[in-house]
Amino acid sequence: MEKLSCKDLSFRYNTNSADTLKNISFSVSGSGVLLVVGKTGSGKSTLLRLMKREISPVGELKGSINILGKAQSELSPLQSACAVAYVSQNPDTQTVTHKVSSELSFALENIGTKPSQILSRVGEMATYFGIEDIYSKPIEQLSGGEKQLCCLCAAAVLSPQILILDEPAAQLDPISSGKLFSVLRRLNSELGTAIIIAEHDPSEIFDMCDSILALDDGKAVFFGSRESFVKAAVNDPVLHGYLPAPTRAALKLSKTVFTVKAAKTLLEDTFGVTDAQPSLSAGKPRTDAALKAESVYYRYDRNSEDIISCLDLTVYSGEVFAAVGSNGSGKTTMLKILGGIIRPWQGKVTVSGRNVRSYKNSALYSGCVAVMPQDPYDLFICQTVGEELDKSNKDNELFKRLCSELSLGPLLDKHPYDLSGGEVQKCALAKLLLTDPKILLLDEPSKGLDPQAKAVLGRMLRKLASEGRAVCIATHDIEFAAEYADRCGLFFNGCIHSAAPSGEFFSYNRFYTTAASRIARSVFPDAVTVSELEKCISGGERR
Amino acid sequence: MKARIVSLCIFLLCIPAVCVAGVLFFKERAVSFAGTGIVLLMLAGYFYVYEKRNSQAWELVIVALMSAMSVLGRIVFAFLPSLKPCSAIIILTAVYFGRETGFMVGAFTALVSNFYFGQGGWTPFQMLAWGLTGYFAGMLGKWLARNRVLLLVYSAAIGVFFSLLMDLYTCLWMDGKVIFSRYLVMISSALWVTVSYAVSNVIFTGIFMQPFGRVFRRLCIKYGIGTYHPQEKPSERTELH
Amino acid sequence: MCYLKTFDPTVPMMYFACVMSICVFTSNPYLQACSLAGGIMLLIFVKGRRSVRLLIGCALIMAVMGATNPLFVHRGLTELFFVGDSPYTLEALLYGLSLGCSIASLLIWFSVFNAVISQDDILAVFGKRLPKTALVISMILGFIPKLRRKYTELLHAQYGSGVSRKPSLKRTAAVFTACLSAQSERVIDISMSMKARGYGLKSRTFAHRRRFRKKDAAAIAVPLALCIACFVYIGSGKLDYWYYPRLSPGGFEPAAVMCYLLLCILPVFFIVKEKFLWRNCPAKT
Repeated sequence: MEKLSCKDLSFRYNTNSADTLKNISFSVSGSGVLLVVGKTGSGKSTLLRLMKREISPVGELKGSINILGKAQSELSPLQSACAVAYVSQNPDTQTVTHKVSSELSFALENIGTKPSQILSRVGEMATYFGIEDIYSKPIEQLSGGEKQLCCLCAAAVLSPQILILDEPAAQLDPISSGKLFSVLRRLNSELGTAIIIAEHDPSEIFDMCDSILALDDGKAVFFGSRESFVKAAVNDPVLHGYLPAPTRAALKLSKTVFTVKAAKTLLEDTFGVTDAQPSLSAGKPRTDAALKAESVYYRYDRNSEDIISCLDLTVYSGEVFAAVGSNGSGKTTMLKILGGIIRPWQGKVTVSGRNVRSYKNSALYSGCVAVMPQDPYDLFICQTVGEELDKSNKDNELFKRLCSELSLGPLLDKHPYDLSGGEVQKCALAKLLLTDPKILLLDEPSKGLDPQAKAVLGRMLRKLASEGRAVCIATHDIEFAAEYADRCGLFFNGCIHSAAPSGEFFSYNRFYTTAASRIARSVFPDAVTVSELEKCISGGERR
Repeated sequence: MKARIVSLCIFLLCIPAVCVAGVLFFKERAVSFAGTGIVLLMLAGYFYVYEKRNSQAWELVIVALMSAMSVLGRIVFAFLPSLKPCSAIIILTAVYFGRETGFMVGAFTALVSNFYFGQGGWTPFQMLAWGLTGYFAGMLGKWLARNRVLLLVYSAAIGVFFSLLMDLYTCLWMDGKVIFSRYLVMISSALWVTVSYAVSNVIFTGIFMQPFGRVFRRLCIKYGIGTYHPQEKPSERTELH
Repeated sequence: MCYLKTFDPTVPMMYFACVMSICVFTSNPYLQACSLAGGIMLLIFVKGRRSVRLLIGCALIMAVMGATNPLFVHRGLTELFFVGDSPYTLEALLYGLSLGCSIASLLIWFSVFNAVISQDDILAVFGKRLPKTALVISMILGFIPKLRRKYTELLHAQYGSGVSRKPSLKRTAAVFTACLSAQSERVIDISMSMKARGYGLKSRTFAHRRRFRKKDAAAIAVPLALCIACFVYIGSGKLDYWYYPRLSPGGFEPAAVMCYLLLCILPVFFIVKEKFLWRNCPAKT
C-alpha cells in the first residue's frame, strides 16, 4: 500500500510570482525510505513541509497529496497530527520546554492523553531508544547530537506512520549523526515507519534508502529506485555529486555497491592487496610560524576541570591547518584562546612573534587576527549586511575588490537573517577580510553547507592561504579537512595530538579517517579523498 | 467569553468575601490580609482567563521569549547598580503585542526571576505590579507606538507607580494597615529607589525603543504576527521565505 | 529532606499556605512566638549553618521595628520616656516587636519554602491545574540558558571585532538587542515545531510524575485540620489580643496555641521519622 503519494504537485508562495515547486510526483510505499536530494533553495524544505499539514507554507497548491489512502485535506486534525511526524535541521529551534522529560511528553499532552498513559508511553519509548540516561536532564546540558535525538523521540512519541526529516544531521558530527541514523534505521526496520529524509550529504543514509527524489530548481530531475539513480548518475555530473564514496569508487569499475565493506572487497579482488605503507611526505622544517601556543591550559573557573590542557600548536603562514575532532571536545574554546578572545590561565599564545597579551586594545584585531564564530550570524548585529561591513571598512579599494570577488553586490542591502547559510558565510568572511588579517581562525566553517557551497568555501580558503595568510579551522567534517587542509591534527582530551600533513594524517589514521581512505587502505594506501581514489582506480594495474 | 463571565463572577464574589474574612479574623491587620487576598485573586482570575483562551503557538513563544529576555536583562545589566531593564522590556513588548501579552510577560518575569533570586511574600505583588505595567502599556499601545515622547513619559510614570505600589506593600506588611505618616516617611526614604526606577525605565526605554521596534516590526512584516499593523489582519498561518 | 520529597508537591505547598496564612497576619504574640519557634527550628534542620545570616538579619529587623515604632505611634498608656514632645510607650514598643516578628517569620518561612520546594515542584503544582501556564514557565526556563549562551557567543564575536572588554551600557545594550534579534528569528521555527506536534488540537493535559495518594491526603489533612481549628478559635474571638491602650490580659487559649504550635513543628515529625527510617535501613550495610 502506498503510505504517501504526490501527483503533479505545484506550489507557489503568495509572495513569489514564480512557482517554487513544479509538477512533482512521487510516492512512498509501506515502509519505504525516500531520500530527497538537491541544492539549497531547490525547494526541498518547501516540499517536506507541504507533506505535514499543520506547518505547510501559505500559498497556492496544485495537484494532490494522499496520505494513508486519503487526500491530505480529508484527514481529521488528530489523524494528521499523529500520522505524520516532522523533524527539522536545528535542534535548538525545535525544543520547546526546559527538560527532556517534558519535551518527550509535550506531544502527548497536546492531544489530551491521560497523564498516567503519557508516562507509560514516554517511558516505553525512552527505554526502546536507550535514552534513559538523558531523560531527566535539562535540555541545555545535552550535546547537539543528544538534542537532535531528543527531538526525534519527541516527534516519534505519537507513533507516526510517516516520519519526515529535513536535514536532521546537518549540524551534527559524524559520530552523533551515526547514532541518529541508527535510531532511524530501527524505526524503519523494526516498526515499519516510512521515512522521507532530505540530506546534503546522503552518504550515511544511502545504503538504507529505497528510492531517491532529486530536485533542481523546483523540478524533479529524478525519481526512482536507488539502483536506477546510480545508473542515471553515470552521465549526470550533478547526480554524481550525491553518490557516497564507495559507490563512486565502484562505479569506476562499472559495479554498483553501497557500503565500505563491499567496495573494499571489490577493490581487493580487482587490484590485489598491497603491503605498502602510506608514503611519508618529506616535511621540511619551517620557521615562519604565524601562530604559536605553548603549554596552554584553560578552565571556566577555578574549581572546574581543564577543558584545554597542555596544548602545543604551531600554525605557519601560507597553510590551511585543520583541527579535527568531535563536537563538544573543546575545539571552539581552543580557537577562542588562539584568537585572544578568552585568556588561558596558564601558558602563552604568540601571534606574529608577539605575546597576545602585549597587544593593546583592538590592535590584535586590525590586520593581525580574525576569528569566525561557529554561528557566522553572530558577527552581524546591524540591520543590513552593508552597514555591518562599513563598520570594519577602512580601505575602499579592498572593500570594492572583496565585493566583486565574493559577488556580494546583491546581498549588501539585505537583513543578515534573510541570507542563506552559504551567503552569510561569504559575508562573514568578507567582514573578517576587510581587516586584512594575517591569521584567520574559522570555527566549523563547513557546518550546514551543501556540497557546492562547501567547494566554494574550500577554494576560498586555499586562495587565502596562497596569499600567505595562515588559516586555521576547527571542524568535525573530515572529508572537508582531507580535501582542503595542508596539515591536520586530532583534537582530543584537551590538546592536539599528532599534527601531520593531511595526506599522511588520514592515511595513517585507522578509524577516524575519510571513507575513501578506509576503502582504499589495503590497495592504494595513499588515496585519501574520493577524487584521488578515482584517479588511482583509473590508473591502477588490474590483477 | 464563558471563561470571562465565570472569572468575573468569582472575582466579584470573592473580593468582598476576603475583606469580610480579614475583618472577622484579623481585626488589627484586616487590610493586609484583604490586600494580599485581593492581589492573589486578581492574579488567579487573570491566569484562569489566560488558561481558557486559545492562544496561537507563536503567542506563547513570544511571551516566553520576552519574559526570558527580561530575566536575562536583570542578569547582564547587573553591573549597573540599581538600573534594571525589566520594566522597559515589558512596556515595549506590550506596545507591540497587546495588553494580554504585556500582562503575562510582566507576571512571568516576576515569577521566574524569583526562581533565581528567591520567592517571597513580595512575589504576587511584583507579579501584579509588572503585569499592570504591561497591561496599561498595551492599552495605550496605539498612542505609545506613534509618539516617542509619550512612551518615555509613560515609562517614567510607571516607574514611579511601581515604586509606590511596592512601598504600599512594604507598608502593609509593617503596619497591617496604612499609617499615612509612615507611608510618607517610607516614600521619602525610598525616594532614591523611586527615582532610580523612573530613570532606569527612561534610559532603557530610550535605548531599546528603536532596536526592539525594528525587531518586532520585522516579525510583524515577515511572519505576520503581532498587533503592530492594525490595518493588516495578522494571517493565521505563518509563512517562511 | 528526602522523606519530604516523597510527598506530592501539593502537600508542602498547602502546608506552607496554612502556616503563613496565620503567622503573618495575626497580632497575637503567643501564635507569633509559635511560628517563629517552629520556623527557626525548621530552618536550622533544613539549612544548618547557612541559616545563621538570615537569623541575625531577622533579629535586627525585629529590634529596629520595635525601637522605631514608638516614634511614629504614640498610643499606649505606659510611658517610658519622652522624645521631644511625644511619649515613647511600652505598648508601641511591643507592638513594633510584634510587627517585626511578622516580617521575620515571613522571611524565615519563605526561606524554608525555597529550600524545600524546587522549580519542578512549582511546575507540577501549576501544571495540574494550569497546564498552559506551566508550559509557558517551562518554555521560559528553557529560553534563559539558550539566551545566556547566545549572549556570550555574541559578546565573544564582538571581542573578536576589537570591541573593548570593559562593560559599558552601550556595548551591553547592543549585544543584548542582537541577542533578541537572533532569537526572534527562531520564534516561527519553534512555533512550527509546536504545531507539528499537535499544539492547539485539544486542551492540554499535564504529565506529572506521581498521582495524589492516600498518604498525601493524610499528610494534607492534618495541617488543614489544625489550620481550620486555629481559624475557628481566631474567629470566636478567644485569641483577640490588643496592645492599646494597655496590653490585653487575655488572648491566651491553650488549645488554640497548642494547635498552632503543632502545625508549625509538624515537619519535624517527618524529619525525625526519616532519621529513624535510615537508622533501621538495611541499605546502609
